[in-house]
Amino acid sequence: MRGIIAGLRNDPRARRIAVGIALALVVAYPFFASAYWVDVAFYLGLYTLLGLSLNVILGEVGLFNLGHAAFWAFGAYTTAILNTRFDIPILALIPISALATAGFAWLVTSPIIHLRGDYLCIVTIALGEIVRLALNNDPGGITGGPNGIFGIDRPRIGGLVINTPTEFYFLVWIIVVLCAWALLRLQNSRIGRAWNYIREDELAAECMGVDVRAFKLLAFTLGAALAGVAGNLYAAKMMVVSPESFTFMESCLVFMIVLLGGMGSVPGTLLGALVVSLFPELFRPLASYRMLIFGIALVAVMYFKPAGMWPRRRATFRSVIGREAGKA
Amino acid sequence: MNDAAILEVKGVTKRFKGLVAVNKFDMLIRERTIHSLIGPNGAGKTTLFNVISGIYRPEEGKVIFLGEDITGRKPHVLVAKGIARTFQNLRIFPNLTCLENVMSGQHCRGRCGTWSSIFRTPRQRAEERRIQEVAERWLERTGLWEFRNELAKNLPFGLRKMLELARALATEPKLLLLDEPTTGLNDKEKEDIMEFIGGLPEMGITVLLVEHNMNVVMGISERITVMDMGEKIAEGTPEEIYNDPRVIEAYLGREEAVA
Amino acid sequence: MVTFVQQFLNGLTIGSFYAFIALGYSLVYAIMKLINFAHGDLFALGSYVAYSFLVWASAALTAALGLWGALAVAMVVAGVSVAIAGLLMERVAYRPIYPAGRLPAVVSALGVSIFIENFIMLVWGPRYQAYRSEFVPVGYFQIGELRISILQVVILISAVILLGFLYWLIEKTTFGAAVRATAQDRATAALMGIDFRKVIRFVFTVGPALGAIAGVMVGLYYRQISFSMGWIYGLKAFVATILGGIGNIPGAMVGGILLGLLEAMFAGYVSAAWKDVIVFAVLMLILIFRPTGLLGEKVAEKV
Repeated sequence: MRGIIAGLRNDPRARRIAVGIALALVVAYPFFASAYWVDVAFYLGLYTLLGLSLNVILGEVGLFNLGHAAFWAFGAYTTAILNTRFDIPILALIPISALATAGFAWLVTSPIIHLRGDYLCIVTIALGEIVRLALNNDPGGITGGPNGIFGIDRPRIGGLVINTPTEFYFLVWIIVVLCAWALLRLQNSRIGRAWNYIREDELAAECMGVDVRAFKLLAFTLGAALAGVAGNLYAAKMMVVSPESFTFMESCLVFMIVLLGGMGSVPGTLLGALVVSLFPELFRPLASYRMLIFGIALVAVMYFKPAGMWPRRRATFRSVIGREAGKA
Repeated sequence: MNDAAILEVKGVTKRFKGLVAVNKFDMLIRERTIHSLIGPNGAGKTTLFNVISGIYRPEEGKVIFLGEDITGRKPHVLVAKGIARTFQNLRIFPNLTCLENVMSGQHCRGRCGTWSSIFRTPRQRAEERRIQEVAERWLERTGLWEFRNELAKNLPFGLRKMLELARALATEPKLLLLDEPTTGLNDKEKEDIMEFIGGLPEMGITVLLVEHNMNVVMGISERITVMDMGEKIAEGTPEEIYNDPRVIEAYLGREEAVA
Repeated sequence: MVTFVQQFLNGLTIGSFYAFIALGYSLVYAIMKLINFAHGDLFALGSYVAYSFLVWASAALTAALGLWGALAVAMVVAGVSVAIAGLLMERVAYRPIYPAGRLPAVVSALGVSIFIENFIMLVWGPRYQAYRSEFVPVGYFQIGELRISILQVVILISAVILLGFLYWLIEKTTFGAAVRATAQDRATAALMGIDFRKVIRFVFTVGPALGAIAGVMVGLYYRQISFSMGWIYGLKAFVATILGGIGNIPGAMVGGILLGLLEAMFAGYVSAAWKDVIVFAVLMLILIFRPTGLLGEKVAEKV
């Protein structure tokens, strides 16, 4: 196994084939799996998307965000409200929810972005709670209180209504693949490196010319935008949103997806989401014991693999000044 | 010798909770020279250094860089203007490769944002190439070429110090601020790094060297400013400083006696 | 005026619960720089242990020691068992993972939190449990229109005694000085001959025990306990910790009381539904404008 992975890392062609096989499996899966397991895979996709969105904030920049459910909720409620009140189609609401959530994130994180480590962590927990409680208290009668909002439409593309588990499965996984692709490209760019510089040493990054504040805000808004998309898909799938879906526990689960997988690692995030969303399924026979075991499993993974199950490996660059330098 | 001033510190005062760390300090650094700032431990050198590089905002006074008032500007703005620095206690990015470390210097020379990075526009690709090229050149010049794909934390201490220097140089600075670049190095490494620093003015880079050990800077500096208890006590050529009774007192009177 | 005094007393009571729990957070944070996410669940565990103990033994104990005596024994039992749980947790889930860095430790703490919460649910069931009326003192004082329950008075008095004792222990004794020194600078404290292990054992005994005592008090005061109550109390106590300055022991006490008062006043005069929102909004404002808490000093990062 280890040999295969090493081979994949060193040979770009082998890697491309592996990615191709993986994509083919993703496409073929719903034609072999039962509706129930296709649904499970939909939620896996949703959690992967949430994991990727938090990975931008937590994994790339090292900002401890334990209130990610707030952004997810914001996206879901934006979709729910605009769809039920103004009949805006769900798919059109994807970019709108993303933008609205990004705007919300920008607004609320601007004053707290300078906080470090644990302090930021606590503020984000508080933020998550404020959003949940506010939704629950139904300000101005727009969030529907504890019952939430129901009667959300199904997404439509032309005449096709996305309704079955398989259709939802493809909708979410197309978005996941697009996001993963975009994030991988960002990782190997000036933007992704700047994020990593901040994570490694904030002061040094600032002194190397990185506008730390701006890049942290960028990560928060981008991550929130993706969480907003996840919220949209969730609202469309459930057709109802209510505050109890966006608890602190959800924020913790997404946080754990990133850390279990490996900070800043896209394949790791997928693996983390796989563990977090399949765990309850695989341990279904154990019913009520599964969360107990999950708690133990978290401690165990952090003991044996503190950097996560699939940590990011830094890219080696092909030299641009070439051989002459190598000889020198 | 070029007479144009690159950096002027005018009456800078920095206090911490009533404690005066730097007091009405004046200093003038000329282009393409190596200027040293020395003084015993706790003299306020690093504080002044942090004021110049934008980490602290002084309570009084001005810092003027190439005729522009830069007092209180943030470090990342100053880097873009051409002031780079290193840290006394070494602050590299441990879990990134050496190449990525040095590429950070070119960050401020890049312009490409999120969208162009996702879609890899031709402009973005050209920019990435340039960032990498500059970084590679500096790795080569500092003798770190063979370690370019090594994680920075795996380098021995001396090379990490060199890496930090390469990283600062990759910002294409006009003024380079070095905070005790030889601390923790053995004699051979000290010699190497000082020789390297000595060559920088020829590349058009002005150096402000902060040192606590007077002997290190004697041979290399054109001018030396001596600081003690937050104030300037002497300034001049190495010979003048060497014979200045106030300097001898500041150093011998306290520190050597303790040591 | 009556409402005010009533809300003030309620605030002090809730505040002392927060203060107890906050101390546990603050002690652990001061020494290990770790937010012990499982602390709120230890508090809930204490509440349940005392509940079961009282169901089992209250009749016999009340006959022998009177109701107050029985409750005191229940608190000691809960305190001791939860302290053992705390020590066990440190040994199994924190000590081995701590060297790997702070993030793995945070995840581990979350893991322990999930574990304890589900453990409580499995043992005692997912539904609310009620502290039976036979072990809850019911007397009250009537002063004009004002009605003050004896339970409330006892809770407040014991809070003052316990917090006072802890203050004395941390601020005035040699051992307390060792704890504070370790909080300031672990390496130097170790060089001065302070046994780090002993300090760790102390914080993981005292913190959980205080949490458990708060758990019993909450059970008696509200009568109802649930397996998931740990986290909301934990979270609010954490706000109290921040309010007083994290790692600052007297600060945690003051922060707890202040938070309780704020919450009770807001609930009494403005809106009960929005009181938690206010609690968290206050937290955010404090962190924005005074990141080291009301009692903490501003510290600059060393460059």
